[in-house]
Amino acid sequence: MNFNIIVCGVGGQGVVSSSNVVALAAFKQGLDVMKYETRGMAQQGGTVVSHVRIGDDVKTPIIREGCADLLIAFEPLEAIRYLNLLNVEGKLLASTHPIKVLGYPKLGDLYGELESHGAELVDASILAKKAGGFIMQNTVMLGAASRHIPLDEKNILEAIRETFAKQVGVNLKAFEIGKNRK
Amino acid sequence: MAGKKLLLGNHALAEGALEAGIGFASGYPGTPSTEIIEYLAGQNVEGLHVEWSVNEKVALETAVGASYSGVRSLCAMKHVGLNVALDPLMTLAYTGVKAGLVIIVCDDPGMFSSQNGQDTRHLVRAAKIMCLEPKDGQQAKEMVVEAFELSEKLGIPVVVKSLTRLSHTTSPVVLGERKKPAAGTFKKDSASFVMIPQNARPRREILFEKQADILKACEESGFNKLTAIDEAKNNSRRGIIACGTSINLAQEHAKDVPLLECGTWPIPQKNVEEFVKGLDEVVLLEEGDPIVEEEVRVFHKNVLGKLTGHLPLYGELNPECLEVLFEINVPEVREFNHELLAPRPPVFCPGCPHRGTFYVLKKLGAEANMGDIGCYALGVQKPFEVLDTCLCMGAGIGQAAGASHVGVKKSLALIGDSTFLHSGITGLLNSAYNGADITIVIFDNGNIAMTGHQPTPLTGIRANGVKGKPANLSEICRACGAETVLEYDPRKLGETDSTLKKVLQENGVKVVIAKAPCTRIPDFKAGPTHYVDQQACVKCGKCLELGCPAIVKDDAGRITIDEVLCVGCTLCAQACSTGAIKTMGRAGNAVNTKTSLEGGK
Repeated sequence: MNFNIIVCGVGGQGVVSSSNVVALAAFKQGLDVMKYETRGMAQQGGTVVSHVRIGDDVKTPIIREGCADLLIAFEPLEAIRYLNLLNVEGKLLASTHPIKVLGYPKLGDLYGELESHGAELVDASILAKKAGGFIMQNTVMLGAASRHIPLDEKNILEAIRETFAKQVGVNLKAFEIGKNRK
Repeated sequence: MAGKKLLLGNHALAEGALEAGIGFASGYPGTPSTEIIEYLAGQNVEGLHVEWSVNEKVALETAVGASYSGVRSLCAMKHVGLNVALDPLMTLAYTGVKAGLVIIVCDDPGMFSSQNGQDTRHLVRAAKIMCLEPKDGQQAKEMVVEAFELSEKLGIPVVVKSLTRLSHTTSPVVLGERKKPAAGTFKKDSASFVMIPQNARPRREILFEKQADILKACEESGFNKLTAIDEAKNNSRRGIIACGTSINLAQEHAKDVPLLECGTWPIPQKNVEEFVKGLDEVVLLEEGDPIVEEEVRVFHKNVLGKLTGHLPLYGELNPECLEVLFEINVPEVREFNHELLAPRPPVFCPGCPHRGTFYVLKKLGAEANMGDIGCYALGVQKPFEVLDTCLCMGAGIGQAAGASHVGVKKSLALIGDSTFLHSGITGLLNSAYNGADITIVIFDNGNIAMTGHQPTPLTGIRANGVKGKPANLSEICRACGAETVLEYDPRKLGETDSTLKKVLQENGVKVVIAKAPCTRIPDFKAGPTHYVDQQACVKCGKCLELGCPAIVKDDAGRITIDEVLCVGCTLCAQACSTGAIKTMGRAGNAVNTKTSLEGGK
């Protein structure tokens, strides 16, 4: 069995680092893993999506439409953008903090649509500030999603330590805050 | 290093080169190939020279010098980079190599970050050399090691062809021991290396003679292998021939069909002939153009693929493509309100120094703004819509000159610092020599931004971080014949406007250098965050014309600045008609940066 995770957000939000954490945790757990993300054109401000596939036999990196088991969005509009990838029984977590663009939908409409898909809406920007800054939003979201990720927490924590070698403390705190949010 | 590690595809390719004992590596940044050289530069291997070359042609020629001197050499580039390096490559096939020379070329069939979707194998075929195409990270590493062996055995440069979905996929890779680089000595061999016609003619003959050896090497290669299946399940008498990453696609979605993995170009003719015998149908899966498909058609009359309309002729292969050919579960897809989907195209970052130039250029409305390859190509988008062309590295200068020679007034070329050094210098020299009337704007932002902030010769910093002598951009331009060379700070709208207006009134070849750092380089210093004083704001929308992602209009029509994104570049305060955009001063007092900037002049 494989488990497919989409991590998405806006360039600069840490999509790549967070998906690195998940992939590394799966690798530490001895699972097969493949991870793919947009690189190059996606600078700060563009849409970024990372595909993470973990399990016992992963052959290709791209998660096709309707095949993601978990979607973690660091931005609510980006959650909608990749909703087609989430399977009908998949779990959806989205940060409530918008990063606006021209023609950005009304927030109420956006949250309503996400909730109709069973989304857990996380006030990640507020929680991130408690952890040490807005920039920690990605690790807060990872913490919030962790109970849906079929990996041992110790491997995720170990992967956080390795991935964020220079800011281990704040990231571990952000993970805890996300995990234990009400 | 030995052991199993989680590696990016490009890093796996680089590890292969280290296991092969390279002593030289060069390349020019280009998505999706950039991380190969970056990784090698970061490894600090004793005896290994790693460089960002100025362009792919120089990169290959430098690698050739190292190979001729008996040291294994690697050259890495994106697919369109091989066009730039094609001139040395075509004749390098004649001269052959001494120590192994491997060129890693990364294609982008989905065109995520490229101006075209060309298939490298056409050029490999044209050069009469060979290439290996890995299916995953593990094989990427193994193929690079093998490519060096083949290069030396056959005496030709060997290409390893990657692509976006492999180069940028992270997966576990088993590593071996790295080999120590050799030291170089050059042994004279003019009959092989000096391609004057009387030497080149016999070398061409030798290259033709090598073709049989190349084919034999491909037929004996372990990368071309048959996956046996339970014959009882294959009642349709159908088989698959798959290349590169398509092999894994076949194994995931059509695992009950016999499969011939094809990892080499040229194709292993004997293996193919044997495999297709007795099959009713052969499905051909390959990324890029139907090149293997054309070849396999010689051996079987019923090959299903891109040429028969069963698979798309362009774009990437994906499971959806295979639905026509195989019974694949089609998953249920969620329905949602698509009207919510506001596009989020890549934009100039908050504080990007290109923004000021494009804001002013839009107002100037020149007849032709010939563009180039780099972040500034985003100037084609709203709200600027300034850029008129984008063809290939350095093309904008030639285009601007061409337009000026046939009567176009106010013809501009917009080009980045690294793109100018890569392929723009010859364009400038040619324009000055032939009397063009153009203005060239060079964006000197201190790095190669779009590919991930690599250094340029203007910084003097090399791939390994060592500081050498910085090149002088103004002097280069003057030496090439530019009549006027001016520099301005694009973060100051007034200065940008007056500089551009001034040069546009002059005749001849003028160069203006927009000098200000990219906000993403490590030593960038952000200014104080700005905010909109709602009482002073008249909602004129002038600040929105800057297209800054930090400036947003909310549901109620209020214009606000996202404090997280703002880096304090002050452009919005300069553009504001009422002085409503302010920053908090040291004492927490509101400061109007527009007035303070003007006062500072």
